[in-house]
Formats: sequence, C-alpha cells, structure tokens
Amino acid sequence: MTSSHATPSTGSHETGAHHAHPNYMAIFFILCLLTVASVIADMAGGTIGKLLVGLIVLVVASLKAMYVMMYFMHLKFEGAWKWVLLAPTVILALAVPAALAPDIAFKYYDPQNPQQKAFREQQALEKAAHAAAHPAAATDAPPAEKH
Amino acid sequence: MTHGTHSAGHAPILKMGVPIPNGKLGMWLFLGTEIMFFTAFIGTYIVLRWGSPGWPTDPNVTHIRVALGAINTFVLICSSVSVVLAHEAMSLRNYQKATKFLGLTLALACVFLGIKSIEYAGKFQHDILPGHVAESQEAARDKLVRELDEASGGLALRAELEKVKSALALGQGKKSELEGQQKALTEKLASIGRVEAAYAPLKQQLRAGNITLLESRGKLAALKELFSGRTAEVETHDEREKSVIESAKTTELAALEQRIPAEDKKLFREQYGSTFNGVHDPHVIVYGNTFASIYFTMTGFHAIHVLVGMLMFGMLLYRGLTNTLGPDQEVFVENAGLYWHFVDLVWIFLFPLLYII
Repeated sequence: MTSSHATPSTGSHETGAHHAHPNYMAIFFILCLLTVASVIADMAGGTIGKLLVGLIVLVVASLKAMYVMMYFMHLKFEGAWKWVLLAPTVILALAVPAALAPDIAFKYYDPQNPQQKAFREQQALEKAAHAAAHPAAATDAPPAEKH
Repeated sequence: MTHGTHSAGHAPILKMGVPIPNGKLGMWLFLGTEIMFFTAFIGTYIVLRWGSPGWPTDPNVTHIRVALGAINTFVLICSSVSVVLAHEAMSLRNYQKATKFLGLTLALACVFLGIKSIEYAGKFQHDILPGHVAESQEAARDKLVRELDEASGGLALRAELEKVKSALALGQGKKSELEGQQKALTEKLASIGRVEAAYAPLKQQLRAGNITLLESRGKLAALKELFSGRTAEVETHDEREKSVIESAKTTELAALEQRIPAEDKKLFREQYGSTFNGVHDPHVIVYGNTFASIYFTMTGFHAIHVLVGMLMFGMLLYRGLTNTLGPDQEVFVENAGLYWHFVDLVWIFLFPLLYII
C-alpha cells in the first residue's frame, strides 16, 4: 500500500511531480494519538488548570498541523518555492490579531458594558450560592442561580 | 528562470516559473488566501475571547460536546489518509483502487457533516443562536415573556383583527368577507384569551422582575405540563438548581389546578397541547451572542469548504465509476487532496479552540 522510505531523492525536488512517499499509516496513528492526547488534556482540565490545558491542546494542534503539512501535503519534499509562497501568508495572518488586540482584547469592554455588569451579577450570585451550600462558612444567603 | 538544453543552431529554450504543474501552483496560491481567510477568523476569535472575561466555556451552558468534536477530528484524519492513498493509486495508474479511496473520502465527508448537523440541531434546540441569547437576568425574563406571547399567538391574532377592522372602517374589500373574517378572528381570540390568562400571573411577575430565573423555569415547566398532560422534564445537571426548579413547579401546578376551570384545562389539552413546547428555559449566557456568532461563522465556513471538497470528490468518483479516470486527472486528484488536507488542517485548530479551551 505504501512505501516507508521517507528520504526524498534530489531529482524529485526539481520536478515536483514525484516525491518519496512517507509511511502514511504511521502518520495516521500519530495524528490519532495526538487527538486522544487533546481529549485527555480536556478531561484533566479540573486538576491541571485551564491555562495549561489551553497550552497543551494548542501545542498538540500545531504538531498535528505540521504532520499533515509535511507528509500529507508533501511540503517536506517540495522545493524552496514553498517558503516564498507561504511565508507572507503567515505574516499577514499574525497581523490581524496584532492589529485588533489593542482595541478589542485590551480595552474594548469598559466596566459600564452590560455584559460586564451581568458577569459581575453572575459572580455575586455564584458566591451567594456557594455560601448557601456551605452555611457554616458564610452568613445567611438567599438561594441563587447560575443562569 | 532556468536555461534549457542547447540544440545545435537553435536559441536556448527558456523555462519560467516554479518547477510544479500550473494547476498545483494555482491550488497553493489559493490555499495561501485560504490560510489568511481562516486565520482572520481565528485571530478575531482570540482577541474577542481575550477581551471578554466570563466567556462561556461550561459545556452544559454552551452545549459543545468534546466527544463529537473528537470523533469528527478522527473522521477527517481518516479521510485525509484515504485521499492521500487515492493520489498514490493514481500515480501507480491503479484507477480502480483510486476510485475506492475517492468513494471512501466522500463517505467520510458525509459522516463529518452528519455529526456537524447533530451539533447544529442541539444549538437550534437550545436557541444558542446569534442575537437570540439573553446576556442578563432582565434580558432572559424579557425573552421568556416574548416567547410565551409568540407561542400563544394572541399578539399576532390581535394585529390581524386590527387590520380587518380598519379595512372594514375604510371600506377596503368585500364587506361580507371581512365581517366573516372578523367573526372568526374574534372567536379564536376568545379561546386564546383563556390560554393567555393561564400564564398571565407568570408574565406579570417576569415583567415586574420579582421572580428568579430558576423559579420561572419551574413555573414554565408547570405550564407545559398543564397543557400537554405529560411530565415536563427539568434540564439541569445541578442538584441544588433542580430542587429549586422542582419546588417552584410543584407549587405552580397546585396553583394552576386551583385557578384554571376544568373546562379550560380540557380545552388546553385537546387544542393547545403543544403550544408551549417550543418555549425555551430562561438562561443567562454572558457573551453568548458573540460566542454563537463565532461558533457558527467558523464552523459554518468550514462546513462550506467540506461541501466544496465533496463536490470535487463527487466529480472524480463519477469519472472513476464510469471508467474515465486517467493520467489527465492525476493533478486534479493531487489538488483535491491538497484542498482536503487544508480542510483537515483548519479543523485541527478549530477543535481545540472551540471545543476544549
């Protein structure tokens, strides 16, 4: 079905028509294992913290993307044109969040924003609910709702 | 630019451009624009999420199912392998094998969209749609009042009656017909008025803002139960919430039993049994509308790309099944494969960004 020699011949670089075929099934299993790793990281979210889970799953996604691009899309075996063609797109892709971040990520919502007000109310209700569930640790509080 | 081999007495043959087929170069240029298209969405999502403390992540609130996302990731990985094997078979001139793998890729794309449609149905069922989500307690109460009124149909009927009345007053249309319409609408309105009376106290409390959302969920469940005659299930994973809702429901059912005449109860069950089935439980999801917009924009555009891929594989499969697949289609299969791997790549990032983080 597939040949497992992953070393491309020099001639194939020039034509681009024939390249060495990697072991596709091995790549398939690696991609499956990485997907399972993402799900395990999600399940462990309660113990390892959301930030770490986010970091793990994004690193795993980048690894999966690398495998797909290098072996399934054969970029590993293509000539130098791939850099000329793809590098500008990466720069422009990074430009969007960089341009939007100062106005949206950093200071878009002021404290008077209705959603911020609702979020504060929700937090207060959750605090009250927690106090109601643990009366020994808090003063009397009315039953509250999460949503 | 490269110089070709010299033939005696002839000018050198010049070769321009990159050493790949034009079709493949075109596909890569297109994929370059596609990278910017999807990274613009992803970048926008990241900055919006960053600037929105309290962004909804609880799967019981967002109805995002990690298991379904993971299964779809697996399905796309399988399809990426099958398309790469189809391309390999094309290179080896084994068109029968290529046809089989192209068919498998198309089938896997159908599975992906099938699972996606289950997820979308869940979002529609819980009304997690752009512009539909209540982002504060007040908005949730207003939404419930609006949905109750829409479900009973009283407001729409009154508007219709007003139109007929003004047409009669202005002498527009046939008088006997308009009078007949007016009579029918008035009779229907009298019956719907009884439905409206059943939820009038709840509506009043919601408007005054002196009822919690959990209590209103209990009262809504009681209303649904009274009309349908079937037990209305309370949807919550929190035991404490459940007890508050159940208690409000029991109290409201007892009140309704006492307040509603037996004749009306019979009318409700016989003619209006499903009236309130579509009314959603009131919820607050802070940033729920932005979340829904982001979710549908990103997964929607991805699904459109899946459909385009399916079209390409459908065309190739047709050629394979009619024995017209040949060396001329090798670049097409390679390009369809490149496009499909890109669709897989996008999903590889959407899965952690939308389902896990």
